[in-house]
Formats: sequence, structure tokens, C-alpha cells
Amino acid sequence: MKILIKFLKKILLFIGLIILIYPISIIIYGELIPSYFHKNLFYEKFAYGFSYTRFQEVKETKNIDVLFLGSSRSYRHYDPRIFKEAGFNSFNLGSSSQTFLQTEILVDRYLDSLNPDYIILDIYPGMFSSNGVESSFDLISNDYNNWGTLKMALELKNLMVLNTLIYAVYKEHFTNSLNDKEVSVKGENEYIPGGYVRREVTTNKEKGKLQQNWELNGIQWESFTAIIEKLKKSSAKILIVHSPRNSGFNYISGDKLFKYLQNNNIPYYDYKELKFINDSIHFYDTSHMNQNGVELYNKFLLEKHF
Amino acid sequence: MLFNSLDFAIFLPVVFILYWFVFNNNLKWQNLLVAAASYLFYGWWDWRFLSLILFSTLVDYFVGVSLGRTEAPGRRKVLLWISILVNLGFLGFFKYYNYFLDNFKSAFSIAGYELNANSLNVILPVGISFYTFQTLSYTIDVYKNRLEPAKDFISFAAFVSFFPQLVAGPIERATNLLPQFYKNRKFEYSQGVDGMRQILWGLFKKVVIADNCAVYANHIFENSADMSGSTLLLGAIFFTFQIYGDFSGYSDIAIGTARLFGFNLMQNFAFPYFSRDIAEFWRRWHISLSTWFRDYLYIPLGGSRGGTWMKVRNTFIIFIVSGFWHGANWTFIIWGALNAVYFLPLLLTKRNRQNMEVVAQNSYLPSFKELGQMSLTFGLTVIAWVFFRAEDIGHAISYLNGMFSRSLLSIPYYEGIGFAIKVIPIIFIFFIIEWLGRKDRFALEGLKIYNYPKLSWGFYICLVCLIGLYMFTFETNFIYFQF
Repeated sequence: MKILIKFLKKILLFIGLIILIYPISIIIYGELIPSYFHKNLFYEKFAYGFSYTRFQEVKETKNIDVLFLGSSRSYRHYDPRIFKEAGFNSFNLGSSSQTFLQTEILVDRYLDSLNPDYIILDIYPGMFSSNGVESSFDLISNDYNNWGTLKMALELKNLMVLNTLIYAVYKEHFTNSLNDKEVSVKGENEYIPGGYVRREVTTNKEKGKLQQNWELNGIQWESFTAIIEKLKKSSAKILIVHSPRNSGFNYISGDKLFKYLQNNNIPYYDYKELKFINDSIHFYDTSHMNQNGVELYNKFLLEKHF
Repeated sequence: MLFNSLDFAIFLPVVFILYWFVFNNNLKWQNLLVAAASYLFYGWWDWRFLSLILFSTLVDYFVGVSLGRTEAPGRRKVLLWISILVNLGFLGFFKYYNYFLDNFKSAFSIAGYELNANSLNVILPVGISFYTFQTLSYTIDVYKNRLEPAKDFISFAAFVSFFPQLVAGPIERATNLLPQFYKNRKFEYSQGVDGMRQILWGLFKKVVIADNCAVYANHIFENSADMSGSTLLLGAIFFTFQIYGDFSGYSDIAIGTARLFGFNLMQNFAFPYFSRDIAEFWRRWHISLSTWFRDYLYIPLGGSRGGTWMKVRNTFIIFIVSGFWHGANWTFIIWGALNAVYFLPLLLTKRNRQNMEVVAQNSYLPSFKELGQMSLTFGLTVIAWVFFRAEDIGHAISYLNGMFSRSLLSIPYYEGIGFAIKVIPIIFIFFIIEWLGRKDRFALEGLKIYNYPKLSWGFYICLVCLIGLYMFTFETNFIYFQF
């Protein structure tokens, strides 16, 4: 028995040492090894979708009329300048590949201070079926981290997310990483205050061939319903919207989702195929509209709902 | 339940503590716990198939008891055939039914007849080939009077379903494992530490080497028509490391886990990629299966006694059956036959037992001759693995055609190769550790750093950190679960 106890003690000591040393190894790895060789560390500050600048700006923004939530299809499809012209202050809190796991965190962080009258949650099937791993990196790397992000990392049960979170926490607290400045133009993309990313008017030559299924991943569905409950508690009017996308996409039944929305009296507006939006001239790729498409779509939305 | 899952990380310590702290003084209860834990472990995948294991266990137990009670040769033979037919019947139905049906249908249609029989949607029970062979070895050994029949049903049930090696081996011999269930087991510190080391190394092989290589191998094999010869070669090499890391990693975890419970399982891999010829490779690859076929098929067929024709025939039979054991697909049969072709020149020139010692026995590095021999053997196995991995024979042939084209000399490229480059240094580290440990039962067993406790702890911690930083971060099945 003594030998067994000694063995178990050694095992526990080893686990304790790992808990202490492992985070240090991630920091050393992140700092010394060039990011090209990183495998399970995906710290992507200043990434493609200007999330860093957006999260900095949202902290200074209060009491708006319209809040947009969702993926890149949100931050590229709702232009606050068009809403401003119509008399509405708005903010676009979309982020790259955002799934409901991340939306829930953003709602917890910023809904109270933004205090919107309208909330537009832009959805598409991928938000429900995604495992949420890839999309978590953008949030972890570009905004501050707290229990919410730790809870998300644990729910995802993915070591790469946890590693990135550990490294991001180190960067945040030991290198003052949240005081940097991001450029506002990257290639054909320009950050417009209010969270929007404007894209040069280019046309789409690709044809969508994808079949999309409203497949409801367990943790995404849980987050989605939790978000709906939280949004319902605010006085804002909620609109669940599917913004235009290339007509080549096939959609398969989403009965559970639509029944849930119906039971909760939450309107769903399916605008994925608007007659005045053209596959070639109003998109720059298969799922994102260019500025011409966005202007037409936003004006349509304003006329219809505001 | 997968070894590389969170479920197993909870299951193992719970069973370990119950085994040594609660049931420590009672062998029967310990065996009962092992059997119950094993059924839970298997049922985690699909509880319905527990009935198969239970049925197999009951049949072989009663066949064994009956064999112990009779000396009449005719009756003994009948009992043996009952066991063989039941076990191979299950295996045949679940694994080979559709294969034979499809081949019969094709054969009849060539002859101008249409056979009206429908394929069944049969689920292949995980590990059926492994536990079937294990129980068969028991009945055959009892029949041949090499082993006393089991009297205690619980011990026998625990032997058949022993969770560390139930679903992917090593395929234990009843003569080795069963008697261990009869003896009181004592926890030994050194055995526990050894077990943990082997688990750690197995985990590294599986989640870092195999799972990462799998991503690139799968991508290249699935898009082989668009790849250059050098990229196809890279894909085949990735698969070569994948299958070794996956299967030997599983075996390491299995053997290490068994050690924690006081059991010694047989070595299943002995650094096969350091072999100098194919005969040596087959003495070092999936040893438990190779020796099973040697003992229960090759030797009863006459082995290497008799004339040249007999040797050639038996060699082909054993390799082809071994290939077929892996799966109901012609690719496995060709893979087996190809290995027989590799093996034959050595057998016929009586050089199949020339490399019995480990390579570079008394030096750190191999000689140029040994390096050349190892490279040639490795190259031959890489080619053979293409058949093993390909979807069908046509795919394998087009893959090899593409590989041995002019573009073999180009620089490998495919979209995503940048990710593959990240794991190459880790494969290199893995290779060095395996080389350093090639004389032992597993790579970490005899590393010299163990004389310096702090250094060895540092090494383990580094290994855990490497796993954390380089593992493939989604749970994946072990390849050999499908066999």
C-alpha cells in the first residue's frame, strides 16, 4: 500500500508540475518560435476582419439605436453610414466566422452599454453547424479575456483554443497588447467606424455550389437559445435575418430552428435571395456583397423595418 | 471508449483506484472488476455488441470445460470445431458477408447469371478480429493440451474482454495472459512507472505523430489524381508514419495500462522501420498477429518443412490471410501478397533469419550498409502501404503510377503543405527517440537519463508540452479499430 501511495503522490506531483510549467511553455513557444511554425497556438491579433479595432471602438460606444451581430456576413453587410443617413446610430459587432458561442460573450460584454432599440442577428447555417473552434481565436486574440472566454474554451474542449487563451492572457497582462493601434486599410478592405468593413466594388466570378444544412450543433444551439433569452430581456426589438447570399447555395430543412423562433415570437426574415441583388455584380465572392450590394440591401432593410 | 479521450482519462484512474485500494486483497473481486470495467469500456462504443463478446466467452468457456472432461479424439475435435465455427462465423458474418456476396454476384454476372441477393447493412463490431483470434487461441491451446481449461468463469471472461487490449490488441495468447488472472497481483513501483512511461509515449505517437500525419496523408490520398509524383511519395510516407504511430501507439498505451494493473502483455512492435529486410520487418511489425499466424496457421500447414513449393505456398497463404484479416477488400489481399513477394527471395535463399539482432547493436549509428538496407526495406513498405491505404485496387495502381512518374523528382507541393512542414521537426525528434530506444521494449524504456531523476522528469514534462503544442486537437479513432 505504501508503494501505491508513493506512486500516486508522484503522479499528482507530476500533474501539479505540468499545470505550472505548461502555461510557461506556451508563452516561451509563442515568443521564441516564429508563428509560421506554431501548430496548436493561433494567436491572430489584427486579423483580417479588423476585430481588434472594432472591439476597441465598442468600448467607447454607448446608447445606440441598432446593433448588428453575426459573422463577416454581419460586419460586411450592414453599413452604419447608411443607417446614420436614415437617422439611426448603429454599431456592427460582427466578427470573423462568429458563431453563437462568441456572440453570447459579446452580448454579455456589450449589450448593456450599447443599449440598442433594435438588434439584428444575421444568421446562416454555418453558424449553427460550426464547432466554433476557429472563430474563437479571433475573439480571444483581439478582445480582453475573462471567465466568459475561459468558459467558451472549456466548452469547446479543444487544446488549441486553451493554448491560445493562455497566450492571449499573457499578452494582455504582460505586454499591454490591448493598447496597440491597427491600420484601417488592408488591401481592398477598409474599416469604417461603427464596426463595418467596406470592400472595394469588385465583381464575383465564382458560382456557389455548396449545399448548406441547418444542422444544429449542440453547443451552438445552447448558445443560440441563451442569446435569445438574454436579448428578450432587453427592451430591444429582435430581428433574425439571413442577409443575401449567392443563389447557388442549396438549403436543407431547418425545421427545429424555425419552430423555435415561431414559439418564441421571434421573426425570421429570409433575405438570402432578393430579386434586386445580382449574383455577379453585387457580390465580391460567393457569400459577401460588395458596397453596391450592401447599399441596396441596407436601404431595403430600412424601408421594410424601420 | 478511446484511449485518447477525456472519458478514458477519467475511467482509468477510477478503475485503478478501485482495483488497488478497494479490491486489493481479493483476486476474484479484482477479476470481476476487470471484467465489468472491460464491458463498460466496450459498451461505451455500442452496448448491443456486448452480447457478441459474452456469447463468444460462454461458448469458449464451455468448450474449454468440455475439452477438459473428455479424452475421446472425435468428441474433442467436434468441440474444437464448435468454437472455430462460432468465432469465425461471427467474424465472417460481420466482416466478410458483404464482401463475399458482392464478389459472388460479380462472378455470377461475368458468367451471365444474375444473383438476387441483397447486401446487408452490417455494422462491424469494433475489435472483433482481435478478440476472436484471442479466444480461438485459447480453444486451440486447450485442444492441443498446451493449456489447462479455465475453471473460473470470471477470470476467463476478464481474459477475453481485458479492456487494455480488447479492441486493437496485442492479440494475447491464452498461455501468457490467462494464468496471470489466476495469480495474486502485487503493485510494483517500477512496473507502474514503466507503464506510465509507455502510456505517455503511446499517446505521443498517436495524437502527435499519427493524427497529424493522417491529415496530410488523407488529403493527398483523397486528391491523388491532382498531385505530383513527389507529393504522392510524401503522402505515402505520411501514411507510413501514421499507421505506425497509430497502431504501435495504441499497443503502447494498451501494454502500459495493463502494467498498471499488474499484467504483462506481449510486445507488439519492435521498431519495424529500422529493419534491414522484410523478414526482419515482419518479426517486428504487429508481432502478436504474425506469431499467431505462425503458430496456428503456418506451422500446422507444414511451415518451412517440406520442399520449396510447400514453403512458397505456405508463405503466400499466411501473408494473404493476414492481409484478408485486416479487411474485406482486395487492397488488403494485394498488400499481403506483395509482402509475400518481398519475403520470398529471402526465404528461398535462406536469408530470412539473417538479421535477428537489432540494427547497430554495438554502436550509435548504423553502418552505410545497414543504412542502405533500412532505406530499401522502408521504401518497399511505403509502396506496400499504398495498397493498404487506397480505396480500391484501381486507386492504388493509379497512385503508384502517379508516384513513379517524372514529377517524382519535382518539389512536393499541395495547398496546405505549409501546415505539414510544421510537424516534420517533430517527426524528426520522434525518429531520434525511437532510434535511441531501439534495443528496448519501447522507446522510452531504457533511456540513459533515468539515472538522473530531475533530468528524466524534465524530459517527461517536455514530452507532455510537446503533446499539448503539437497534438491533433480533435479526437480521432485508431485505424486498427476497424479490423
